[in-house]
Amino acid sequence: MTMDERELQKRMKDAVSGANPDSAKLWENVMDGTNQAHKSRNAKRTAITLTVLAFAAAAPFAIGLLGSDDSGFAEPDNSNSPTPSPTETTATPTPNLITSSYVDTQLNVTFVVPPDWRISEFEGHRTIVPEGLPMPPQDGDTAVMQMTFGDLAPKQGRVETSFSGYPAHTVKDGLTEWIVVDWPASPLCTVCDAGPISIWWEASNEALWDEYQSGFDTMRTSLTPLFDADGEVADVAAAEILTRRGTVAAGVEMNSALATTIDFLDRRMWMDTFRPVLSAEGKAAYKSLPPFGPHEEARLAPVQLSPSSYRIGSIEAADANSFEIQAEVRYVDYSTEDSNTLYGSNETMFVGPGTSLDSVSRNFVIRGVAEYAPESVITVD
Amino acid sequence: MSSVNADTVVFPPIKERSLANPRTDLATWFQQEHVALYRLALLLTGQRAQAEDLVQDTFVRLSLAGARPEREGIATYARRTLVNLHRSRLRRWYRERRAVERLSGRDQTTSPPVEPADPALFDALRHLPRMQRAAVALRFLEDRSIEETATILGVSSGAVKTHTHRGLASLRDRLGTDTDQGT
Repeated sequence: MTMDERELQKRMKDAVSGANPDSAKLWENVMDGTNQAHKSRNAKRTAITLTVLAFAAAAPFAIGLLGSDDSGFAEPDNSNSPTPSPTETTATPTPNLITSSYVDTQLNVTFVVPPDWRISEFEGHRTIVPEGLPMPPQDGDTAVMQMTFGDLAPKQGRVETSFSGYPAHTVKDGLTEWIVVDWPASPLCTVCDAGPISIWWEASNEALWDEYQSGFDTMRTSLTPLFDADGEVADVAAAEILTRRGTVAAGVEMNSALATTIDFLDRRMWMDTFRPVLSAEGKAAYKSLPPFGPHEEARLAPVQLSPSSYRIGSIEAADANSFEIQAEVRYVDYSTEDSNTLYGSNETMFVGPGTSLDSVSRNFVIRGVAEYAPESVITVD
Repeated sequence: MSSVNADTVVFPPIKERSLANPRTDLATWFQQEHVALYRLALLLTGQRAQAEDLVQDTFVRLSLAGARPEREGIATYARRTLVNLHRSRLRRWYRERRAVERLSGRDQTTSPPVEPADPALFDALRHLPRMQRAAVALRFLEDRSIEETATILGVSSGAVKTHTHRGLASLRDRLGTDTDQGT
């Protein structure tokens, strides 16, 4: 630590050393907040439980009404029958044939997402759970896959291995399995150095582990870096590509231009820096879009638009090195309580070689953005 | 605002049923961490009221987090939660500011008030990007190692070094200028 760093440190410590909160009041507020949060959670649980119980209670009557028999004979008791009768119609679940792949330009991963699993992201930490199970840190038994930067696996019991050709180690710790893999950092991520990422699969109990093991296996075996060490993009074959904050329509093929566009749109949703993905011309064009644009009066009513999601519809080659990508960006109007009404803005993004705002010459940057159709109002369920 | 010495406050036990996980001991965590978290929040926000709100919400989140804080370490988990909550609030604040700009038709450059203690330092911190501010506060106020800071912020060690380096350079520039003006 240099001299001026020590001085700065001392100044920082001095500035807050005398600052103490009103501890008693703060604790009282924590108690109030905690109780309120737990009441709210319990109320939700109660409502769900009551609904389930109501359905369960009503089901025999409903079945009885549908299948009522006035012959006067008692129905045989099949409640202990271990197998359905051969004549009984068994509802066959419709297999979900739609396969999605998740693409993450920051963690530099792509993998197949089992049908009906949900993805959540918070500060570089991705959490994936089956539909219907609680998403940590929500309370309750669950099965979950998680990913984040760094090596978070336990130090004990490590087994050296390789994963997709890159050095890795695995750890089995009870009902948690870890893979820590040291593969290339995303060339788009300015805050990520080359270094390991941790991926782990976890279940609260054996039954959940057994139930969702095939889902874990699907994700584990399909896990691969989006960009390899040469910056080449993996072949992502999927009916639909899911990203941190948006989707890509079926049939749109992954390439570096699309990855840059996904990164740009994800950053817009999070209001992160655009420095690695936007050129100076692109920035000027972007500033003319909502919610920055000068056309406020001509626009629809919202005054507090904030981007919430997007859907990339197509990618077309403009010339040998450049692409035009069309997407719908959706905005929420925070000035109203109506979260079901979104505002769509149809945009074309021009992607090609150029110098990004962080003064790096790149194969792909966003060089322009333009609206190609008026805004629309979208009502979602 | 009255200040109470944390060592003299008697914390009532939490009713066990109000906790998501009975193993957690929120009162103990509060006693151990709340002053340090408050000071960290003060450097991040520059305002006492916001700092108290952040600390309060951090402990409420901890109470809902099940066994995860214990597994990851309470100090790390609490700081990560606090930094994340601060980020969410910043985002909300930017949204509100943009809305006001659109409604009023003029640039809203009004800054949030800074603390009276060393206002130049707080003002310089406030001008740092969020990650730089958090990295500098964790490294220099809390003496956290690069690895610890990286875990808390959810970024790589290299990113922590970069954020800290840039943050310090900006602070030097601003504070140097302020000193020159002051003299």
